[in-house]
Amino acid sequence: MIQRDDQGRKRARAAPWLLLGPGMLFLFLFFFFPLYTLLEMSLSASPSRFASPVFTWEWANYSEALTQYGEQFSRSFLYATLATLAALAIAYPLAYVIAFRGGRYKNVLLGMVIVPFFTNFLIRTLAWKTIVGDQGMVVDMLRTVGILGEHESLLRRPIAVIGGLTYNFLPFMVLPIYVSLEKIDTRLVDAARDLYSTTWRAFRKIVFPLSLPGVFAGSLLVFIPAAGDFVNAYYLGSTKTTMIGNVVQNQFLVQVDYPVAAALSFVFMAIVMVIVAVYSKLLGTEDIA
Amino acid sequence: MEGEAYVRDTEQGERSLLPELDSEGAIDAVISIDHVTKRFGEFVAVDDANFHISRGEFFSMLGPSGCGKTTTLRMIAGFEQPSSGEIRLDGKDVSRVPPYKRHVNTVFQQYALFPHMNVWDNVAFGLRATKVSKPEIVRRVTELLAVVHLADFATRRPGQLSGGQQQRVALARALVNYPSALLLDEPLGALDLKLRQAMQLELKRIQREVGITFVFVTHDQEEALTMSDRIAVMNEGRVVQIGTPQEIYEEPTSEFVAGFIGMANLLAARCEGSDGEFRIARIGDQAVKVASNGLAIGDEVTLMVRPERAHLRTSAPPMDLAGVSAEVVDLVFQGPIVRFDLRSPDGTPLVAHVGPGSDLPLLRPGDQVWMCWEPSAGRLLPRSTQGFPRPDVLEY
Amino acid sequence: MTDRQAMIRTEALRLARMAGTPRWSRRQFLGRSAALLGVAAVGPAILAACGSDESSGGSGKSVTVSNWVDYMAPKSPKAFTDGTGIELKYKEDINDNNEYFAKVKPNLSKGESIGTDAFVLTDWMANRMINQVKWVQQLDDAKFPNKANMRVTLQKPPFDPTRAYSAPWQSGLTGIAYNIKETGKEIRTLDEFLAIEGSTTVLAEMRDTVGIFMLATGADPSVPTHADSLPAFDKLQKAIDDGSIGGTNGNEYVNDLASGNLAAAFAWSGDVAQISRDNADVRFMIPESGGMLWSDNLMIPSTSEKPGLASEFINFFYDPVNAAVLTNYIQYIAPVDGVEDELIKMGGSAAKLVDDPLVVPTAELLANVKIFGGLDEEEEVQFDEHFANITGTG
Repeated sequence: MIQRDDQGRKRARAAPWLLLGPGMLFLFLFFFFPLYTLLEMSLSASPSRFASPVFTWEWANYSEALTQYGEQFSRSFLYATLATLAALAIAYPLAYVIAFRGGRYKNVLLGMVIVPFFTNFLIRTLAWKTIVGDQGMVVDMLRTVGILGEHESLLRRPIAVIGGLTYNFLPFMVLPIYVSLEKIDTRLVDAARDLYSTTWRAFRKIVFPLSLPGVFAGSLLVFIPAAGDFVNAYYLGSTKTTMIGNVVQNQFLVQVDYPVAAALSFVFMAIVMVIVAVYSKLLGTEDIA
Repeated sequence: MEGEAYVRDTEQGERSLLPELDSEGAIDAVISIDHVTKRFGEFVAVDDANFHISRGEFFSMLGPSGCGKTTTLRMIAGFEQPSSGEIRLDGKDVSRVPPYKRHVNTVFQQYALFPHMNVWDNVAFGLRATKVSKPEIVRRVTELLAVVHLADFATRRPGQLSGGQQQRVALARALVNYPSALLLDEPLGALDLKLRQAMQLELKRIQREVGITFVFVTHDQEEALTMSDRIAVMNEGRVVQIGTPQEIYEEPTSEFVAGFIGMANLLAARCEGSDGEFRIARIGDQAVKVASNGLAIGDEVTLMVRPERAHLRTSAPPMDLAGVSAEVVDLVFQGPIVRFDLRSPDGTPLVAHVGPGSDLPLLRPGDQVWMCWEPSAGRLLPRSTQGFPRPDVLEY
Repeated sequence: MTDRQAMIRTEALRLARMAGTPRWSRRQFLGRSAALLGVAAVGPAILAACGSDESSGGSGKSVTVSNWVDYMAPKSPKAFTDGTGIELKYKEDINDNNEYFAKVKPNLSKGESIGTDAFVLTDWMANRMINQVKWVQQLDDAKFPNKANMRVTLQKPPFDPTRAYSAPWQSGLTGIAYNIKETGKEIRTLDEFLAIEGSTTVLAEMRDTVGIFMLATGADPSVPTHADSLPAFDKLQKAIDDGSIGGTNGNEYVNDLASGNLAAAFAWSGDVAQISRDNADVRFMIPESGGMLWSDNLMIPSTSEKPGLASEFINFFYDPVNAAVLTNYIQYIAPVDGVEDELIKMGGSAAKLVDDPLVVPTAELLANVKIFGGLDEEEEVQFDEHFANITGTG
């Protein structure tokens, strides 16, 4: 009797671990293991250029990663920040209109936001290139009003890259914000207006704070891939707009320096984690039900 | 204690528990609904509503879902605008005034508490939107939290409160603004039966304490009867009857009201003549005496008898009682009463609630009995064109 | 090419046009970044998968060849099988030298098969394969009698002096392409190129860009040393810093030139040969100081068990008749003597190609181009890092 009780208790104690098992295994196989491999690579050195790197606690890779690429790192995070802000400025009103004014066209409108995603990332980037290209309407207009000189372009400038990043990742901002706005009970807005708030105050005090989880998720979904992106900088930028992704790509493919590429990836990951931590602290979204 | 201070502050003055029955001529109307109609496209949600709500009154709008009661409330609050007619608050036409400029506050269905704010901030929300000084805000919020017995919960989030507590936060959040009237949209609908009954009493207590006009929307006739000073019964966009709970219950003016409020036996009858202060109504081949109410002789009418006013006899009733013969279909012991389901010879289902005082022989389904009532307990109603509502269907 | 393959190719071409690419060529198909993305690799993967459909079995002799996209005439694989009895599995799975190297490195470095009997890579990568990592084996000259038809200029490259390990598949020139509408005048020298007011780019391929700058600064790229190339790097650095050069370009310069997004760019002859036919404003020139000649070379990985069959494959395409079919379709420079005569024999538009100096370069043109020489490991690192630094990724 006592024994059986014990077994039961043991089984009960084991249950959560068993339930966690598949998830843990997945995490281990597809996250921790690759991460470990990357870490090992980042501390390795190749005896010769094309030989497989050997693990040697090669901290020099990190000093190279940290010292030589400050410009590209800061540019990546600057561009990503600007692209995130631009995406937010476009996505919020868009999501708001779809969520609250979309009516029965909600799904159609959402579909229109997602449709560009059916095309290849690269094709979208090249499409953006056409938009801001020298023969495009935008440049034409800017040249006509004199903002751009006759031989000046938007292409190969930071604004083209930031624009491309914004354009490519916009749906990642729209969708989470839409979801969090959609979830808001419109009676809360009624309640705020009932309690002497103008529509604007109701938005500031109720709708916006309640949509912060969406803003938070959307910003991360845009910021992180944008900071690591290299396609936009490659196709739309110049040698003066290269981002850390271009450096990693170059180290990996052209220079065949896998350890430095790995160290760069690790440094990038560390910086992103710090930024995300600070950001979530600032937004304090865990408080919102 | 705080509540008393509140009453003094607002200088509500004397008020009568039962205001003027004649709503048309009511003095000191806080809210006037003046021939208001609301259409949504082709659909007429509210059809020519016309009544007044007095200061300090607990006024209910009662009706089945879709009857227009919530739309009426939303028009008072300002969320909807009347298609025609006028709404006046404290004598001023507010038909086109946005909600935030109206001095009424609403307790929403499901409360609509702000989930990202704690109780204190929820309650202070309205005051912060207006030009109320900080110390005054602190004073009023403290006071209202005391009124609703939530002083210790100020730092909790709505998600951490029970349904009843959330309900009281919603009340405090609205009342803290000292509105001219408090609008309540099915505020108890989300609570379970026991809590609902407790909250009914609580609401009455709070209303007494603060002395503010309550406009209460419900589809629960028992709730309306329990709490209201007056009730407006609505059906299909129209206000079908306004009166005190007692009037509504005892003197319904239509089959709908009779059937919707409480249980009613409705018998097809014909107004045949007068006998002093009574009318004679013919039901099948029986003539019964009924209290007169102005229906013309010769009219096809409906005779209503409440089940608790009916009693059963095994023999024909004496001259001073009215009654119809019936067959026992079923009987159910319900504690304080026994409920008899009966059927008249023409098949009309009837119900009688028989209390412990009656000395009936043991009855079984199939037994022939007489269902009798005092002539004053019967009411003649105009015959509805829609046929009889069945009591067992309409019972709420 | 099967119907399905043709359909997919048509679709892919349509997509490429949507993206603004007027026509793909082997080099301008999605660049290395796209390949790294993985998504873009879907196209060639499908083509490759369809390619293997052609295996009909039978003789039991079969050879697998990896090549660049759109680097084969549609009817040639069948002609090869009909002519030799060897079944051909033709894969279009090379988009970029570096990317392909990264792809085969894990297997070849361990001596494991990469599932192919021959691949086609550019000179400098051939140098790496032959002299640095040594992952290729010799061609079987007994099965490659047509080697005798190889153009003299291509017979003794520094990285493979006797062509024991490699055979050029096609060659091309690196020079400067410009849109005369944008420049307003003809461009003849590198300095004139740098003085252009509109946008210009150089190639992201280090050897193409640095080679031309070396020639302009008096260095010889056929025997490159980092020390000799310093003036060239400085000139390039200065041009990028002062904005004379807008950036580097992988492969989309063709469309940018045609559309006017670029006034001029370092370019590959094959690409320009194709667009200049549609757009007479786009012109190609070799700077007076000289341009670069490059080849893509077929090699046999050391892990292949069929070097003989792979040699028979390249032998087939060194027959001038077969080589002319290829040239007529892809319009690069054939490495085979006698192709001109065969093109004339074919008549029509094929015969006209003979007059196109970008397809059949004149002796004068060929005298002014150099092949970028082999670099040893240390030198190569120095070149790559220096170039990366200048172009913003180092």
